[in-house]
Amino acid sequence: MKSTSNVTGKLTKSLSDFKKMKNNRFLVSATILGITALTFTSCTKAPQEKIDLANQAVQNAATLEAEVYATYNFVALQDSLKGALEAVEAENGSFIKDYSVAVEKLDQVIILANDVKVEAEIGKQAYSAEIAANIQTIQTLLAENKQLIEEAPKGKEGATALMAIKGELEAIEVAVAELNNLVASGDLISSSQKAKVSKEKATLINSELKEVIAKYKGTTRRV
Amino acid sequence: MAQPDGVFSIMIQVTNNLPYFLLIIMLSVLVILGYNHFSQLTVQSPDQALATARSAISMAKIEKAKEYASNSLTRSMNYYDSAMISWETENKKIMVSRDYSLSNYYADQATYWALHSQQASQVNQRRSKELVSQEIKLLKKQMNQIELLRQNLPINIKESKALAKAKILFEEATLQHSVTLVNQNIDEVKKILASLEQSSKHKLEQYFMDYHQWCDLHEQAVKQSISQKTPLIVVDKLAQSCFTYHSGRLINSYPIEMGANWLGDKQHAGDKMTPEGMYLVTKKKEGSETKYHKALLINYPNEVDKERYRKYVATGAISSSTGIGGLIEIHGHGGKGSNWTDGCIALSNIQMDELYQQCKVGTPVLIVGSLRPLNQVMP
Repeated sequence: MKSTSNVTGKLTKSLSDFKKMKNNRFLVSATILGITALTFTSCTKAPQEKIDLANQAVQNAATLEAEVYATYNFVALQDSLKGALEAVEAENGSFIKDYSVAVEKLDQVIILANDVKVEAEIGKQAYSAEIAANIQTIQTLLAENKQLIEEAPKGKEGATALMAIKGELEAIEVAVAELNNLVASGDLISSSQKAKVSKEKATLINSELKEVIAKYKGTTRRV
Repeated sequence: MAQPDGVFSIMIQVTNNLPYFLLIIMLSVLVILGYNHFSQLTVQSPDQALATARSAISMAKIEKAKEYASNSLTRSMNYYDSAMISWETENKKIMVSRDYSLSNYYADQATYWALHSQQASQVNQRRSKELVSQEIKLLKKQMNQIELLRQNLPINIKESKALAKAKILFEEATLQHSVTLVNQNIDEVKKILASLEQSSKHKLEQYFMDYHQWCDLHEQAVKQSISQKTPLIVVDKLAQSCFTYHSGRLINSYPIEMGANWLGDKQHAGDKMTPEGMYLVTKKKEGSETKYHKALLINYPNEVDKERYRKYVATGAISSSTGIGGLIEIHGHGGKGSNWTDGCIALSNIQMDELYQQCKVGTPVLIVGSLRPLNQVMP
């Protein structure tokens, strides 16, 4: 009887202990979860793949001369990349690492880099198209001006002016040749400015010649 | 019975001590987290300083510091990179031993130099614009002067091309945004203009070696006109004018056109030069006698011309098969605005009519390079 009551007592005690243990289950789970989370977050690695992608995207934009053709946005892009890398480094220094903000920033860099790339490509295309159109106009004007020189009167403001104009036309032809070399070398901004000046000059000569011819025709009609 | 007893006792022991055990673990975690937080408060992370530096660098780049204050900008960017590397190095250490002071220092230096480059860029841009603007004004002035100078000289196609090129480069310089390209263009324009100026001045200086002789001839001719009360025609080639005198008194002046190579004395046939010296009207032509409305034939070549020609042929400067030329006239059909004759002097028909009336056969015709000294001719 003694042993039976002893066992019963032990069981009663263990049951009450077990109840206590049940009450502490929440505490246990929380601690285990906390330690697991701590372990996982402390061991979280930097998003190297994203960093590489972002760096590559910025590099691609730079290769497309975004610095020249999308200047302000390229500066903003470089700033964003640095900001994202700072965010990564800030997390590297944290005890509990959470790269989600840095990853978000790196994603934004990749998107922005693509936008800048597109902007640079559009800018380059616009310059190329403008230069090509201007060169075409200059060539047409040069051909027309040469024809006009033949028609121009050799009278008042004739030979002297025509000689000077011929010199100017030849200078424009040289400038156009230089322009083509400049375009081939990829310097589109300088090419664009050169083309504008040559076009203006050729247009001016064209107007002068037409004016002189018109005057001459008017005079001869009156005579 | 001992086995279950043992198991239970361990279970009971663990169960009884578990809260304390967990409490210790939690306290440890809290201590670590607390230390981390505390260390973050005491050892200042460079993130803020780096963000400030980055922003300053971006602003400097927008202010074109890369072009106008590249040294300070490069310095700033190097400091920024050093700050990042130092931060990265420190982050690899255990928390207790981390020291961000060097990284913060580099970041502050990066900010300082970025701001410096921003300001320097603004100042340099302003200065550069002022300098370019001054240079462009000077070049414009120089270009106008050369054009004026060249108006005194026969047209040279090579020089005309060079001047046209200079004008194109000059226009480009006024359009360029890049200071390097502007300076490149300005330098090239300067070179071309300097060469044109030098060559034009040299030609005029050489030409004016005979100036005193021209003045003497002019003085003699005017004196003769006074003493003999006769008309006199004086042609000033550089002024592109023909003056008529009577009894030494200036009566009129007319614009003239000459041969394309008018600068210098006529040497031989076909050189398109207008002779220089003292001549006489030998024949008055009108109607069917001339195709240039009216003409005054002069006695080119005179004895001086013939003597010079002989000398040149003897020295081989002129081939003996080349003639001395002749039939130099003052005639009509001028007013074309260019020097187009083969060496004659052309006036407009109306002015030729006036001149024709004032002259007779034997009227002296003095043709000189210039009646004004070189310093008055050269702009």
